[in-house]
Amino acid sequence: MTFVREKRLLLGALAFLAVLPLPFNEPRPQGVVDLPFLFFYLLLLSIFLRQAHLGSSWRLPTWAMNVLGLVYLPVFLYELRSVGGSNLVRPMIRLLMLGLLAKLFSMKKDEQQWQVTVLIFFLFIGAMATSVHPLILVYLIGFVVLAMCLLFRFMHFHLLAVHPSVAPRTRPMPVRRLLLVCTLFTVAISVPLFTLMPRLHAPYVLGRGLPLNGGGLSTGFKDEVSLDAVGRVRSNNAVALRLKMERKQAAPPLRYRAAAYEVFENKSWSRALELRDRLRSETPTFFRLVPERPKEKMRIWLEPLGGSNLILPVEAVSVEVSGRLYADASGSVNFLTTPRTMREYRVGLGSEERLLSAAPASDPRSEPTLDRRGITPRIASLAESLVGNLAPAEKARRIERHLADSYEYSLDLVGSDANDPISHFLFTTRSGHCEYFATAMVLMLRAQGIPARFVAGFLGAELNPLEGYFIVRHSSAHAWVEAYLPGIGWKTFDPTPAAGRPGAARPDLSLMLRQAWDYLQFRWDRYVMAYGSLEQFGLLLRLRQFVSGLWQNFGPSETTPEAGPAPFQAPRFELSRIELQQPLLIAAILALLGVLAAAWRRRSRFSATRAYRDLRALLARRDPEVSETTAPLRIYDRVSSRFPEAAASAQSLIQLYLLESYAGQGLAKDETLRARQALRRLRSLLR
Amino acid sequence: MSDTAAAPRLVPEGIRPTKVGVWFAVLTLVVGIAGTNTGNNALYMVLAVMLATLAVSGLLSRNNVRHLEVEVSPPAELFAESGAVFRVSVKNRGRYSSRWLLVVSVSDDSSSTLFPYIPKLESSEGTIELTFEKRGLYNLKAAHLATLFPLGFFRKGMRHAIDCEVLIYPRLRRCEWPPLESGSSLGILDSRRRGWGHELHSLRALRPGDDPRRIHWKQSARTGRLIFMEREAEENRRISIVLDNSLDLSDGGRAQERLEKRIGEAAFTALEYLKSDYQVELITRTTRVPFGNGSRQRKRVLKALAMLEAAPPNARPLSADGVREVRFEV
Repeated sequence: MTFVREKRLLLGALAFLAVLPLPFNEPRPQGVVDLPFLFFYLLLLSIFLRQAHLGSSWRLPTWAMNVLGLVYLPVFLYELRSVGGSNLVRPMIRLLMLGLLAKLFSMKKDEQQWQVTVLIFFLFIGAMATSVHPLILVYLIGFVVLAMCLLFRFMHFHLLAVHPSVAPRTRPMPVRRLLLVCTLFTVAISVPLFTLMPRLHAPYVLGRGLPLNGGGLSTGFKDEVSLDAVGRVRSNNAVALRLKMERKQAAPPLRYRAAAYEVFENKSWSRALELRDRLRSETPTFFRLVPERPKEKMRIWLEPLGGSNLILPVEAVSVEVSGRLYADASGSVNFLTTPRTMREYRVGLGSEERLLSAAPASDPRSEPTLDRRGITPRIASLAESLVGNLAPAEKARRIERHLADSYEYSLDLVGSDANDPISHFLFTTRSGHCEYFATAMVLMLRAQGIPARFVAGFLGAELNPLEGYFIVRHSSAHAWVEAYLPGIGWKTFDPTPAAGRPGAARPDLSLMLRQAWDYLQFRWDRYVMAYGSLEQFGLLLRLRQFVSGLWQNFGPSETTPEAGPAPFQAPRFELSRIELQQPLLIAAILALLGVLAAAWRRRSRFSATRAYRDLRALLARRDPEVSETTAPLRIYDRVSSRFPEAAASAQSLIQLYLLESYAGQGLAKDETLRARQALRRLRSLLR
Repeated sequence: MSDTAAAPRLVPEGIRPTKVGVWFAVLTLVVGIAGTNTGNNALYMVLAVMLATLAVSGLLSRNNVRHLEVEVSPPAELFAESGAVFRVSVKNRGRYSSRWLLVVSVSDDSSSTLFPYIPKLESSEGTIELTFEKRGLYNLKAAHLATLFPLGFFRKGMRHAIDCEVLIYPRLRRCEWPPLESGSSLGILDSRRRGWGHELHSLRALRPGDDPRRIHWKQSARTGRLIFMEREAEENRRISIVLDNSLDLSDGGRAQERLEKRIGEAAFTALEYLKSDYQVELITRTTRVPFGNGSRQRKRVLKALAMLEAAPPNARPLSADGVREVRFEV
């Protein structure tokens, strides 16, 4: 007994599973492996599996394998050269996949099966190491189960091959249960191991790439934004940032400022002011933006958006973040480089909006917020007709009200290709999205000599009830206006009609699912992918606090130290903040899994005896003479006399029942199928 | 005896990594180095799972050879140099878990049996073939349990005390039967006597005092008078197997070889006579098994031959009581 067929099938299945996450892994959007190459690989693997299933003895000759290697070598070298040594993952994974295919097709001896297993293992490592997705956990568990199955079966086959004397079994081996137990034990042990293993380096996280649809649908907030940028991104539901108020009852800020733009030219906004003054920190991580004591504190987790902006609420007075920060004259705060990973920071909030920006210069020629590009005489006269000789603040409010009341919000980009889209918006279509409204207001304010600028950011946040944090999606991207009012300073105006502002999404099933998924992904990012030595330290501290808290409950009471503002710490486990919803959610998932497992077990325990009992119960409902003590042949008589059309099915089922019960043998697959079919037919006929 | 009773029934025989286990450990090390070097938590996850798999494998392997009861039952007769099938019963006394893929052997050179699956609190039976090179008394002290379960990373062994004593009979060496020696040793024709045996000796007229159960009714009917059956005396079907087990020690190992050969021939001859319903006696310089027949005598003779040791040349002389004898000399 060599079990070649079974071994080949197992290896093929494992090779199949190993590569599945690769096209979805980083670097995105192309993934680690191109889809056409993956299809080619899977096609050949399917051929291999079919051959193995049919027990074909054909093997790829060694010389053919050598020729394939020689042919692929220049391709591989070319690939290495083209990536320039910066990203070896793609060519290496491709080499591994091709090598694995060649080995699979040429496998002859037992040693080669182990070589194939090692190749599969390295593919699996490649798939794991380049993945940032929470679903990789499912992949990991699936791979572990299949790998355990392979190792167990290989060992079983080996033992059967070397031991001709085998004690007869009284029962079939419950391999699936064994695999389940092994997997559960493995997972249970690996969680504390993962938590406690020493981290010598800061966690290396491949940044989650921008959405698959490409940068066009990402907010980005680069140095230049076109008029359609925000309008287009409104269809993107990907998460841009998440935030959590430190005081649970506190409401989150409404407006999150990313960047301000001064120059409107060629239908797009750009920054005129050069960066950047480095912000001075009071402590290595604490930056005071405004000399004011914060009233509230919040944490923000910023996903990589493709720009270097630090997204801050307009009420921000301080920020705590590791790394250097820079601010421009418009008050926008930036990182030095574009973040490629999720960044966490803590923000102190004042009671009202605080804009960092300095007062504009009095000379309109040198002041970019008074730049007149884009202002046509018609726009200027519209502004004039609207505001007359009012005070600047009143002028701004009137223009804002006029736009909000007299124009319609629309995401149709009609007129965006016109030569002067703002005039087209103001005088022809009279509908547009937030960027049109904001641009129109900026131009009209500037026409009236009021310094104004175009601001891009996010408006509103959606509560995720699973953990009590707020989600700001790309679809909440918004544009508004900041105008300088003498004696007041820079002030925010939003001319977009209320109907067009990003609002709270309707609570439907898809939103709940999205939120549940985001909850999972958020936790994954914070507690798994970004888990490092600081988190370990924090965890140990919390553990110590927990133990000492327990001790204090039994020991003498001590005075509690006065509560003060906690210093900023990097992300950490929040054991004490576990919400009630989480255990409930876990319990619900476990209950669901339990129900599914029970259903699966019921299904897998189908037997002719059960089917026969079902038949008897069905018949008893229609025929009072039938009871639990009625003999099988009598039941057949009753069925054939009362329901002749069901007689054949009943006969078949009863025969199988007698075979199973009295002949002392289980049913074969086809017999089980027959019993199922007979029962199904009987159900339909007897009901 | 008390020491034996106090000794643990199950003694660990150590744990040895297999080739697959060594490879797995090496790969774990590689992943560990990669994870530590890069700080990639996905690799830490793989590392944690691999270490956990090793731990689970070790724990399940350890559990798989515990709480077991092994019984080894030898066959009724065991002869040297020929395979004997022992019945092995393994009982899983574990309350919570089944036992998987256990390999049971009794000695290093015995064949082993695979017990694929023993459910909890159930037992399974298999057979093991054992071959003993020499006759004599053997004590099978332990059965060896080994397992590669669950993933084949480790070979975990456990020794289970069984204390099974087996007596190995000498190898039966076919010889000319009966091996007639010079003339008078088998005087079958001359020595027929009346007696109480089973064979017919003669017919005669019934005399007073004769046992009426021995009337030959057919002959009585034929002749018209009562005819009495006389039977042969038992000693007419008696034979003495005389084996000279004295050895000239100067001849070294060859003499011992010859003795073993003669013992095998004597055993064969004795069994053949016993099979033919003879009363057989075994006489050696050190042992004497008195006349007897049937299976008990077969055992007695075989046991004596199994335990027979070489005697010095000056040991007591060989003398047979029986009329007939078969003599084996080294």
